[in-house]
Amino acid sequence: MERNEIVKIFLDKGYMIDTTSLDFFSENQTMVQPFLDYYSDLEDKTGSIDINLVQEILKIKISSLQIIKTANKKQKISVSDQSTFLNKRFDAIKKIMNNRLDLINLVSINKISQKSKKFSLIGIVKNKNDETKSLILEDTTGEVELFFSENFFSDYDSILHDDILGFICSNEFGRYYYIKTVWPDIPLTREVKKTKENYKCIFACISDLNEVLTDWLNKSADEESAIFIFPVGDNKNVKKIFEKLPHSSVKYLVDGTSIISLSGLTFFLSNNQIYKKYQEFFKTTPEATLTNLVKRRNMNPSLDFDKSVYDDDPFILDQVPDVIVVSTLDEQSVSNYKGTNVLTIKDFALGNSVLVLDTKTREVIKIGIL
Amino acid sequence: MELVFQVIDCDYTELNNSPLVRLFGKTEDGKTVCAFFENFMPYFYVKVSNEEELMVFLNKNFNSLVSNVESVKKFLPLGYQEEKTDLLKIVLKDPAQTPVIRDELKRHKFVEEIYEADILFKYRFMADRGVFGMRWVKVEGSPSSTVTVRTDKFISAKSVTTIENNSNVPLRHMGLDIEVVPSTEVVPNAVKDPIAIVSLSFLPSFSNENTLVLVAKPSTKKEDGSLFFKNEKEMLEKLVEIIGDYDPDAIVGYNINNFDMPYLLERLKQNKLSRVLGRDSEKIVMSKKFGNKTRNNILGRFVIDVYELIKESAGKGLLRLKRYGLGDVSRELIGEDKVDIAHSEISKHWNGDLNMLSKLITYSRKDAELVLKLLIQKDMIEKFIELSKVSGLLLQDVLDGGEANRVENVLLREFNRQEFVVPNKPEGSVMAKRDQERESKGLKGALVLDPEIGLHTKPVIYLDFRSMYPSIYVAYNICPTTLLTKDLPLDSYKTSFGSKFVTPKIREGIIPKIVKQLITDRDEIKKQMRKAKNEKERKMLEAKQIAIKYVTNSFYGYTGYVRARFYVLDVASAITSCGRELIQKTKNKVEEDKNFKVIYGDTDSIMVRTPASNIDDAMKVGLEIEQKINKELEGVVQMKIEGIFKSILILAKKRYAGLSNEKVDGEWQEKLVMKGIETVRRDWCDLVSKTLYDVLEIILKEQDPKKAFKYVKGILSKLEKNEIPLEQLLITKSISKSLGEYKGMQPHIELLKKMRKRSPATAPGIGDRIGFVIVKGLQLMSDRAEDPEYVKQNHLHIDSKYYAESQILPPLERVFEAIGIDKTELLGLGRQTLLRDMFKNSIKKAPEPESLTDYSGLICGKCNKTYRRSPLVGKCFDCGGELMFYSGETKSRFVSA
Repeated sequence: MERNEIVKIFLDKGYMIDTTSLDFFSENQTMVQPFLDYYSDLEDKTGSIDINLVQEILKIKISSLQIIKTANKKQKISVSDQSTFLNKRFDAIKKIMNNRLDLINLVSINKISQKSKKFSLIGIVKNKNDETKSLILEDTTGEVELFFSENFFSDYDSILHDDILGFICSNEFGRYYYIKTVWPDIPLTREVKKTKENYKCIFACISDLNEVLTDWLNKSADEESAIFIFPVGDNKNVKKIFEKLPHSSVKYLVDGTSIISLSGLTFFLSNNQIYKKYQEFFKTTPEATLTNLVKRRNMNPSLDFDKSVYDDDPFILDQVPDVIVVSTLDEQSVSNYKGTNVLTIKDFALGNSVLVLDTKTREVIKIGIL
Repeated sequence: MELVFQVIDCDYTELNNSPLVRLFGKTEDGKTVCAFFENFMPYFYVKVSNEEELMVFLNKNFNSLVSNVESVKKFLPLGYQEEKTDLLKIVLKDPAQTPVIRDELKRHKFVEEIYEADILFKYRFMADRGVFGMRWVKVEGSPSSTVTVRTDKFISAKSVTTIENNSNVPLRHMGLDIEVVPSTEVVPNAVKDPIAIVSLSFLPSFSNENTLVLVAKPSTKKEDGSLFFKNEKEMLEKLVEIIGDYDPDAIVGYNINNFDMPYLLERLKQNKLSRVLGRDSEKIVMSKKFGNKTRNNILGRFVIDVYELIKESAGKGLLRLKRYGLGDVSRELIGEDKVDIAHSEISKHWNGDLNMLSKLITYSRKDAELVLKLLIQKDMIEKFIELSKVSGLLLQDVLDGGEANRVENVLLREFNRQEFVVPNKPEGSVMAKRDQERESKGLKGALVLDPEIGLHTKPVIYLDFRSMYPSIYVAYNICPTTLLTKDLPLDSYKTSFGSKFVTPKIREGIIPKIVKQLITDRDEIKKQMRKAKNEKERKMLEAKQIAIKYVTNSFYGYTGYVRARFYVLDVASAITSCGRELIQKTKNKVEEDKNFKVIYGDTDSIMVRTPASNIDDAMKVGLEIEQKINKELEGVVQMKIEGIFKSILILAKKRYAGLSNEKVDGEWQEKLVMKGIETVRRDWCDLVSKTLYDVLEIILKEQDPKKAFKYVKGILSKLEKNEIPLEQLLITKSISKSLGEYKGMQPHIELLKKMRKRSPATAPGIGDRIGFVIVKGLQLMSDRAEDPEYVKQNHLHIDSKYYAESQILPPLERVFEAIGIDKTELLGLGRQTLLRDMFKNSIKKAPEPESLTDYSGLICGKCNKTYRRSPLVGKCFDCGGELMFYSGETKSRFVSA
């Protein structure tokens, strides 16, 4: 929505908003309707809306759920869009890794000197050559071929096209050999956040109208619940269900991938099918698959699996999320990686259970619903 | 005692703190000689403002180095002078100190100018004593003996005189070739990698052997003409011994200057063996790098690099090959080839069984044989021997140096003979001044008339001026010594450039005098050639006249060469302005008759179109024109008919092809002559050269552009249908370094990678040539380079579009444009189109959709390189071209989600 459209919506209702409020609603467009709905019901109201009023009314909502990023695919992409997208990713990961002490003798590719026996690079994987077991790494200054000796074949196998990682390398007679990967990863010193309020985050994955679940949610969810619905299949049916769910709860329909904030906790939520492909590549459990991606601080690194270009890339974890929930790995699992809850859920119809996270304790329980 | 010998080399050494000049040569009966000249001292000249100051300075600083200083009177080199100038001649005790004293003197204000302070001592001696390289001299003196020089005879000389003798002493030639087995995949390293084999060839034979191969490993099997050694050191010791025993005058190789000799010297050094290979016992072989060329000097011998001689011929347009490897050149010139072992297989043969080693020995032996055969059978050295005689330079310096040195040596002698001093070579400040002057005044080159582009189907007469520039020197007495730098009321010629030169009555210029003599000598030799008693004499005289022609024609280039001692802008500009004037005057004179039209003119030749309908009539007309022009230009320059073009296609300035007819023994002989139109290029396949040649032939002989056009269309159609034999589409390139050292993608390297994966044992290696064709596909062109065998086996399709657009059409476009084919008449097209457009019907191009819904990858619009996704730079990493998404054969700039 353009700014003038937002202004028109308010004017149609007979309200004037100030610039600051308009700035706010431009950035939080999903808040426009809830605000207007709420404000319309108020008896004492003025025709002039300022930011203080907006904040006062939306205070409960703001502090409950805010959408930080959502995966908006560009409908029509050009080569320039793709390269900009990759560059932004590269810059973001590089920023995370720049001050890492374990990247000894960090250089850009064009500055690799024949004199350095050991050095580090931050590069994006351009190509993998399975015959020579080498990678072509790229950065903004050039590209270089990195060979893997036999001892490191398994490391080679675990690297994806378009991974943006740190590499420690050695120079042997003008050829560069891999020594070690340095993952962007989550810092060990990271604080495990907990909320003051007791929110029960209910994560459910549904493909169709399920009365058992909706009944249970209507009964169990209250003002201190946040319901996250992950659709499987046809969204239209799921949206209908979603609308029927209790108004008193915070509710969020996970359509694609998004990063949201709930009372200060950050959630990475996705029902994107790409995770199946990552699981096939890593050949491991769902929780390990997601952990591998968290280590990369990139929940969808490879263009081989997803060629889309996103306006606001939600997959790059500039900030480490507190909770990660993915619904497309056909299994339910609960794990924890360096203070981040890593959850996978499956279609309710296949297990009749949901996962519930307590934001105050950060405990997760599985609830079977019959 | 008296010795008569042909001069081979000259140097100096030190004896009792004085220089001792050594003149090396060979007598008629093949004995080697060294004549020692004592008491010849180095000197140079200075012009000073204060003689006393100079004396004080020399006494104070260089008393021990200066022998004496004397007053002399000499003419200065630039500008006409009526009287000589007072100079001081500084004679030194040691030639090596000349630069030291010279550089010190330059700093002082009382020194106005220094002359002749950078002439090599050997040439100082040779010029002063009238000794010329490769000429015969008579030396009178007393017997001498020494252990430092290894020649048959010695003489302590008292006098030397040049004598007339046209013959050349038979030389002893030794061909040399080394084989090295590198320790890594890359090029061999002279410090680490030993020489495995040294092969030698001899003419005349050495101990009844014409060839000998030395092998640096022991063998149980005896092999004729081969010697086996325990290791490289023993082998090299034997080599040095053989050189001493055989005592060659010339050591001959193929790329010996840049590879074999420097490598051998390094290996001698690494093995702590002597590098004294010349005719004395002290001087190490001098091997010096000048830019990307290495020069090797062995005292008393010549190092002859046949590869360099071949390239010199190629540079003069006498030989046109795609490649100049020993095998290619031998095949072309003497119908023999190398033994078939790929360069990358040498290591395998060296480390293989006895049979494989034997084959390698045969291979090496052949290389040494071929190089000597080329030199002798093609008479390659004769011209250079004559150049040495004409210019006065030693033969090794003629082989190694450029034209400038030859001219300078001639000028030095004549200038000195006429009591002129010679300027030093220009240095920094002088160069800067010359550059500035050139920029402000400019040096206009020769006149090239705008040609009448197109196909001329009536006979065209080709006339040229005989030795135009040399004739101009003589006609206008142009020389630095005759240039009027002041306004003097003297009889002079004024050139169209504005510079004036005194007439020969006042003073005959040195350059005109030399040139006149050279022209006379050449004419005389040509007369002698007609009376030659046998082929040997005729060949010798032919070499002589060619050498004179080269030196004569070098004078103009020399005087315009900014780094030359005698460079004078006024002189160079005067020559070209006269040349331009002559061409223009000639054109105007010819066109006085409205029936004649000068359709092209370049420097010293013109082409005239006449109404004549056949070449006999054209010849008659030509002779009339020749007479008319010669009458007009009498005393300046003469013109003659070079030939008649039956038809000629002119594409642009300096680019034409024509059917030239010359009368030989009363009969017309026709040949297709091409200038500036390459039909041989390394990166072309044979189909291109053949097509171009055929097209030109059709156009010129049948004068049928339509047929030529149809012919090309036919070729393109055959290409499209895969009907052209792969051999005609083959492009070959060499693998000169290891894979890792190649930057970027190149077709032959990408193919090599594929071949290595397919069959590592048989894939080519470094030093080999690899042939490839370009097949159809969407990947980068480099990725579509394929081995012809693989193409046949897998029924792949040739990329006809590539061959059409990148190989065939570019050279042909100009040809057809020049014809100005009436396209509407030929094709029924309603508008002017480029040739490319005309042929584009057979080169289909899919329309670009607005947006793809999915893509396989990205492709560069310029070089067709493909990518899985966009590089970070957002454009083609190799060529910077724009990238597009592609799916199958469809491309688009966009993809829709």
